[in-house]
Amino acid sequence: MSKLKINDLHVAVKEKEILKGLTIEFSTDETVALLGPNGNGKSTLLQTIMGNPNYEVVSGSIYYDDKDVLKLTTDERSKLGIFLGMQYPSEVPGVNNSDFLKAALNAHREKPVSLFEFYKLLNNAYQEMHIPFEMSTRNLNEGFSGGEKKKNEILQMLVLNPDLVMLDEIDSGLDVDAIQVVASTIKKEQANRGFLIVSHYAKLYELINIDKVYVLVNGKVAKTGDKSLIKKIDQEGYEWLKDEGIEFPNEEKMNTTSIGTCATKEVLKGK
Amino acid sequence: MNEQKIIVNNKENKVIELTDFCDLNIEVLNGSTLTLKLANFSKNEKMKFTANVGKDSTLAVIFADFAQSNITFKSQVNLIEKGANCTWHLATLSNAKFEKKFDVSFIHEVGETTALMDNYGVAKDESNIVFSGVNYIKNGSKKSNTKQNAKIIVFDKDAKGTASPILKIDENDVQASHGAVVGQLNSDHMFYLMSRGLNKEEARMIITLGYLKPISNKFSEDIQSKIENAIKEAM
Repeated sequence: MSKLKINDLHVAVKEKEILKGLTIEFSTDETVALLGPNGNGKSTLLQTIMGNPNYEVVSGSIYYDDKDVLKLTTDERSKLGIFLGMQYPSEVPGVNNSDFLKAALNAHREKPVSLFEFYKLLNNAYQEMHIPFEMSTRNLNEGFSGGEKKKNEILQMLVLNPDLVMLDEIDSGLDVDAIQVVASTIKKEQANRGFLIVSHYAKLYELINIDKVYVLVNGKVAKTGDKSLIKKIDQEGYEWLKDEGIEFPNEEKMNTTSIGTCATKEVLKGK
Repeated sequence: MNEQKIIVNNKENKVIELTDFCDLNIEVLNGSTLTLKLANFSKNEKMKFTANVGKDSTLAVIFADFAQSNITFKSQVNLIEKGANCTWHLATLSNAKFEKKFDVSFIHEVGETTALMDNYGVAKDESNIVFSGVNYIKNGSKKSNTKQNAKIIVFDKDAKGTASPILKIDENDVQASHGAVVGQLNSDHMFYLMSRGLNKEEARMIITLGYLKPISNKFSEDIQSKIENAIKEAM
């Protein structure tokens, strides 16, 4: 079992501070649900842990056991056993799905995988994810539907066998059947690895075991709880947190005129 | 090297693979088809290509350039009779301080002719790639179809790429499009591949191979492995 410890983490994107002193800790034998309104730092946290260069760590620390994660390159973090299932997986033209998976798998091993072993592993993963095996010869995510891309992320997880899996809105874009496939794979894999799961919907969380729930507001952990917290948020939203004294980021005033309202009328009203 | 002349006539269907050439003169006439696979690893700095494509004939050019040298390449394909088609795929890789200039033009002399061009380049180190050329649809060449697509990935900060395809159209009833992209290696792609454990060099390599490899699949096996080696060597 390994532990990821994040302490007082401040992260900025294009000079705007998104994470504002986040402290969180979890281990690879638990599943953590990460909730929070849009734009409060959930994806930023995951991208920062993986080392996306667009996210600048201003201060704070991330340790994976005794390893200083912030000193490692993205590929070194992957080799450590950290995996990020992305919200928007890239389409990489000309890169064959199975060639890529083989290269990625070999990057995690000392000896290259044998063709037979690789084929078996790949075949099992495709079967488990209910993806036709023919898709392994297609280019990486190119022309995949939203749901296919997300299932392909979980498939990569199965092949690479990481200890800590972060999933960023893996359930968006999935149809009813696909969400069942993804959820049942996660559930099965919960015994083998830790999960940090970001989702806006209670549906996925209902289908898997959840050990802990963190609610991120304004770049910090605003609330910690168990599965019942997901239910409350699903029914009531996040507004009630304000009554508990949780500070939300300054909401920029939205333009009240939109398609469907009469713009001329709105302008006249303002006069 | 002297001019090499290739004539395909009277409904012939030929596939020719060449690795040594510098001045090609091609004729594809009277319902014939020629698939010309050109792989350049030579040090010829000046290269010339001219072709006439006649009635209901097709010239398909697949040109892979992985030479480590300067190149000035000039080509003109004349579509001289109705039903003349040309498809053109070029992939080039430049490294060190080499300068590679490809001027690829198509002339639609008559109507119902087609020219589809795709030029791809990867410029590394301090090298320079220039794609230019004119697709010209002459007056009266009704129902002609012409397309220019040029794309260059600039790998390093001192590498340069210029793509300036030009369309010249003197007829209304035609289809024509052109596009040019010069850009750096996509950082999202790099992050995605690295997040799966590939280091920076491996990720760059796999993206480049993905970009240039579709063309190599069209060659015979020994040339394919030569292309792959040339890419690895240049990287």
